[in-house]
Amino acid sequence: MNNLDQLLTTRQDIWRGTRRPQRKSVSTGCPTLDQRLPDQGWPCGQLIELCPNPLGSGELEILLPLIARQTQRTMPVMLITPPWIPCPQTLHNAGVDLEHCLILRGDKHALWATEQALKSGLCGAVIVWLSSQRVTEAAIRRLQLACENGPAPLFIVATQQAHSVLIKHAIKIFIEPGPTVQIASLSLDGPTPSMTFTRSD
Amino acid sequence: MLWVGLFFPSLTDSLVCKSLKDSVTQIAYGYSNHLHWMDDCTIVIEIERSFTIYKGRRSLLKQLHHQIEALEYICQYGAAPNATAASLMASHSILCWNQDDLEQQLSSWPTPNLPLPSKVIDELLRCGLKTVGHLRAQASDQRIRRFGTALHQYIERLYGNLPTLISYWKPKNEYYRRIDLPHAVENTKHLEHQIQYALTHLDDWLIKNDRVLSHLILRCKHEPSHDLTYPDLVIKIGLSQPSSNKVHLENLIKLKLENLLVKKPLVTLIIQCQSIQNYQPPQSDLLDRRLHNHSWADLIDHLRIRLGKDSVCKVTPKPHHQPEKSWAWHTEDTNSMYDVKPTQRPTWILPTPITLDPKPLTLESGPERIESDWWNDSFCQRDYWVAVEPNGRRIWIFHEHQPRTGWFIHGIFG
Repeated sequence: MNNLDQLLTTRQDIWRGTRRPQRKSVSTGCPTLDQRLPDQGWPCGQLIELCPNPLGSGELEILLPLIARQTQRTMPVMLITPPWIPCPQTLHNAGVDLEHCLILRGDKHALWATEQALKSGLCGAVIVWLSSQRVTEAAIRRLQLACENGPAPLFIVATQQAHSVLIKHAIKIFIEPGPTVQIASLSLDGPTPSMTFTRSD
Repeated sequence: MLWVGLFFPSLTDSLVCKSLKDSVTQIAYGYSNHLHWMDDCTIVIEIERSFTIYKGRRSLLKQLHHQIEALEYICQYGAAPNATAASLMASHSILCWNQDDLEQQLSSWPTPNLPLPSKVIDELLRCGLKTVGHLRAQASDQRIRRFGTALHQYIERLYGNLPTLISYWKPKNEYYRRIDLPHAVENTKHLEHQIQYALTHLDDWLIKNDRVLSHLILRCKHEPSHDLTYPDLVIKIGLSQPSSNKVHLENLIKLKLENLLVKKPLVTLIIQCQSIQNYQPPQSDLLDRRLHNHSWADLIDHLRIRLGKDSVCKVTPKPHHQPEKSWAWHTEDTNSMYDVKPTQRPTWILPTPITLDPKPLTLESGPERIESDWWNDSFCQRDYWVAVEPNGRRIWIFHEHQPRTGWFIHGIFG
């Protein structure tokens, strides 16, 4: 009975009412944020949407512990079409191994590159900034499927409201400048009440 | 040692000679690295060292015969314990697997069947020496005196008493192959089959020579015309890590071909590789057995082919006081050590500072005086501050004194 229960618990695709499947996750590097997230960390093989308002409100800062951890484990992290240049001195001081932190520039094939990175199954995390690209719901769904088969969490930084509407079925993190971060989870078991997390907690 | 000789009577035709010789040499190199063209028509291969790989003599010869047969040229096989005798046996399709067999064959071997000048043959026959056995029965000093040292040495080499002077064939350090397409091709899709065929040959060549490549050039030539000459269609493939993976190369070429437009029919395909290195086995971590290096390099190549080399890079710190000169894009896969001071810097740096819009800001910390290049004409003097915008976002601003004056935004803490 225990084995059956264990088997059912670990499956992502079986609906079990209010009982959530145990998803693999990686720590955010902040115990308070870990506690607030549905999987006690960034869920692996899942899409997480970051909604900073405005851009540069802390979306990279919140991910620095994860990037540092994954790159130190020689699991490359891909930053795809970031809006500005991630400061190498800050990344290095935060513990990021710059040799395993790859940056993809140029908007033209950003979604294709994201899909390739996810499909490879080699990345420790993939972070993509959607800025001027033409994004469709189908493209987002493709990324979601590519992500499901890999070990890396996919972070989509939606810089426009239009993009955010297209992203469904994901954990949404609203980031305001200053100490507060709002988390709204929209996962397999439906929406959960939004929570506020103070970065200084 | 056991040598196999391959004799090609049709190789006397100089037109087919070069391409057939190249093909035969490549095939033979797959069986042994000890091979030598004795003359224009005969190649000898030392096969005894390869018996363990091919599970015996019979299996090796069967495979060799199968490959040579595919060339569709007449070939005669011979075998002997030494290279000179193997060459002679091949010309008459005789297999001698040991020294006793060879000596038995040679004892009754007619002297006119030896590859000697007709003058020497006539002289031997005049002396009543009708077989090699008769010739060998003579005392060596008498043989040298009557027929010269060259004949004496040849006979001794046939019996294996003197070593055959051989310079083993070595593969070239570059690959070049020209394929004339059976018909003109106007669509890159139709080229894929030919490329696949060409890559199979290249892959075969790399495996046999134990090599990997880091750059490949694919040149497609147009149909010649009198009115206009179109430049060749050139596809350059650079690999971030040397590889011989055929599937990977094929995928990269396909990605390149997707964006190409053929303006005029293509008739010839040329594949060139010059940067060829010896194969190094992939390295894996002691605890983590996944072969990261190769798969990661494949992914980087894949991305670079479509996005361009400069679009897939790393950002690295540079030892410079001026913030816009303190970072650089880095496209090479080399491990570097960084010396970074633990000073507070924003998470984002703007590629170039932009003029600060007039809005109420709260100065949080500063100033940090940054002066650089006072030793040359590009002197720069600035005071950097951490400021908070009305919406709460922290930014990195500076007041420049020289060479211009004003307030600028240079980074964002976010």
